[in-house]
Amino acid sequence: MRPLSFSPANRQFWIRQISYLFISLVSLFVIVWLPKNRTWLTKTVDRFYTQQQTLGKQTDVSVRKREGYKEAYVYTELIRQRTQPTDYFLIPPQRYLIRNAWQEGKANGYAWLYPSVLYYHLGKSVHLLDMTAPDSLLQQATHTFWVYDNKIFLLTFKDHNRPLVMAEFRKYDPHFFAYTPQQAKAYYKTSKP
Amino acid sequence: MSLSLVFVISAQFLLGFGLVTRLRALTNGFSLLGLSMLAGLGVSSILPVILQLIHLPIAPTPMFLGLAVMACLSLMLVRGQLGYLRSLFTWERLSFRLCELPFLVFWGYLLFISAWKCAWFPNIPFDTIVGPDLVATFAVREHTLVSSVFTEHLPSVSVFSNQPFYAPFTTMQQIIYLLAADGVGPFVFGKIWLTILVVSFGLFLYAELRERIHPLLADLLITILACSPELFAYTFLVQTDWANAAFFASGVILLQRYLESRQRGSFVGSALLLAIACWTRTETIFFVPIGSLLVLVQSADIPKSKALVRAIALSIACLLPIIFWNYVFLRGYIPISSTANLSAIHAVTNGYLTQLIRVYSNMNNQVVFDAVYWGYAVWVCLILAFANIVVFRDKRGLTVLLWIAGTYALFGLIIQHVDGANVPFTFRRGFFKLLFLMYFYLGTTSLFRWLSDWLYRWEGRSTLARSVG
Repeated sequence: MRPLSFSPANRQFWIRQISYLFISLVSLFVIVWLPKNRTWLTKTVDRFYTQQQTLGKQTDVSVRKREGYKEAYVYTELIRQRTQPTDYFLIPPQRYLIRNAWQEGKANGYAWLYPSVLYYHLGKSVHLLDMTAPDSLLQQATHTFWVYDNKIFLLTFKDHNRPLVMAEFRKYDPHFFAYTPQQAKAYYKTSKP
Repeated sequence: MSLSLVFVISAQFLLGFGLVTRLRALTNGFSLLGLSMLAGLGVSSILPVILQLIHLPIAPTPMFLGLAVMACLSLMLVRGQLGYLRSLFTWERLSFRLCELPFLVFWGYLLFISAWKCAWFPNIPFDTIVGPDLVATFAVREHTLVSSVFTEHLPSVSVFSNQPFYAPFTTMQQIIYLLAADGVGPFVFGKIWLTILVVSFGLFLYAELRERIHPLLADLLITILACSPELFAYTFLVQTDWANAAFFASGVILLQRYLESRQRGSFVGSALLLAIACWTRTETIFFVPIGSLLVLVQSADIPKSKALVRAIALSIACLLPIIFWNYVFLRGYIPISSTANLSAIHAVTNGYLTQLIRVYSNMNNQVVFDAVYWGYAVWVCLILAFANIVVFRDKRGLTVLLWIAGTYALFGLIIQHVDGANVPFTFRRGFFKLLFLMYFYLGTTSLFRWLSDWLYRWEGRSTLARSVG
């Protein structure tokens, strides 16, 4: 380390270091002040800091999950609370929800219906059933999501509603999956189920 | 931070420290610290697979014992290297200049919020929660890599892609850090390894640039790079691409050191990091031949047969993790459903060239020149690179430029031929690799060498004090 003495050489050294500091401050200011960088820093990064001030003190895992997963957390918690590990949840065709409850899911295009997303959240708290499963297995379904008045409800299968629900679900291609809201929107804008 | 997390991070660092010290590939302490952590993260990610293969449960005790053993074995490699270490950690090499402080504060500002977002939020990206984190979560819950994800869930559903199969590094790090967090505390979602990786690579790249060019110039380059919104976003969103880019760029930087110095440790280190990059994302193997060709072509001062052996060795080292994961472990050990899609290559029969030109055009329009993703980083680099070529017209940095051009060209072919590879996702995040190399390239150019010399002269130092190559 350079000793702090007042010899001419040392004075010269510190003058140069301070000049460099000045240059670095000006250069940094210029980089930060460039329009695109300024927009990014004042909008995106600043928003993150605001988020940190609002949420930072919350340490509860469920609060953090709700904030991160949004709709996926709401709906999977609903399934978890209302079902038993012995129950069978029938995953409705994504097209059915897009077509009938678009407003509720347009932000995410119902990507949370993806079987592995549901398994990630629910694990073995309920059996998941895919619409492509054999009929004998589909008959075991105990719950599903049903749309009424543009809203999504957790429906418990009964003898009287099973045929109606299955008939409605079968109108939709079970192999279709829109991974992004844009793909879901493209489907929503078409007229065919 | 819990004791187990401190232990895991320390063990991973020591694991890398022993290996990197033994290679004696580096010439400054910051590079060594950054690369040690990177190498430790990479090598430790094989541990869960080893535990699985020797029939031990994926649980905290075997994992931490395994890490401790790996770290101890690695530390044995440090024996006899104290003189080398002392030369790396001199005050001259470790001290910061006054002019670097504003930049360090600015990077700290960005890193703090990135680290907070990474730790506080759960894994959100779709690819992650249906891929590496899905596999990791259930491996930890069920104490085995052959979890119900593979035995029950995937065989019972009709819609699933290759996400659970393509990302061993991210999956294994999630497993290690989920075990360390033990379901409680601020790091409960495991993801904090990503922040550690970002800081380690940032330190390594900065130290490497700082060694080649004046620190003020290195600060400017890193700051422009740091102001790339897309690159920043993936410092807190767990995916495979940031880690892949970090390992890939580190491998290229070490290979550049090898080509400049012919030092064997640099070559071995480069092979190790490129192999880890392949372990992180499979398609990296397509870029490795660029390195092998450079080793072959740029080795005029050693016998051709020796150069050929090294070029082949580099390719084989990188092929090993690919073969092991995709063909030995996934197809031979994990009971994969017959409907599983592990990616396939397809031929293009009609309008091959037209289609390929369209792919490159989309790559440029949708990714490379999209300022929303990269801020000024791409344009600044292109303008400076152009100025360097026009003014100096020399071969300095040419090998890095070949890496960049080759990687870009191969990306087009990958998108053209590999199922599932696309411009908006695969290339957008794959571009991180190119961005790191572009900024490393600037550090190797004559333009920056000339600017550095000018700054050093003004400062009263006649030559670049710690130049390499």
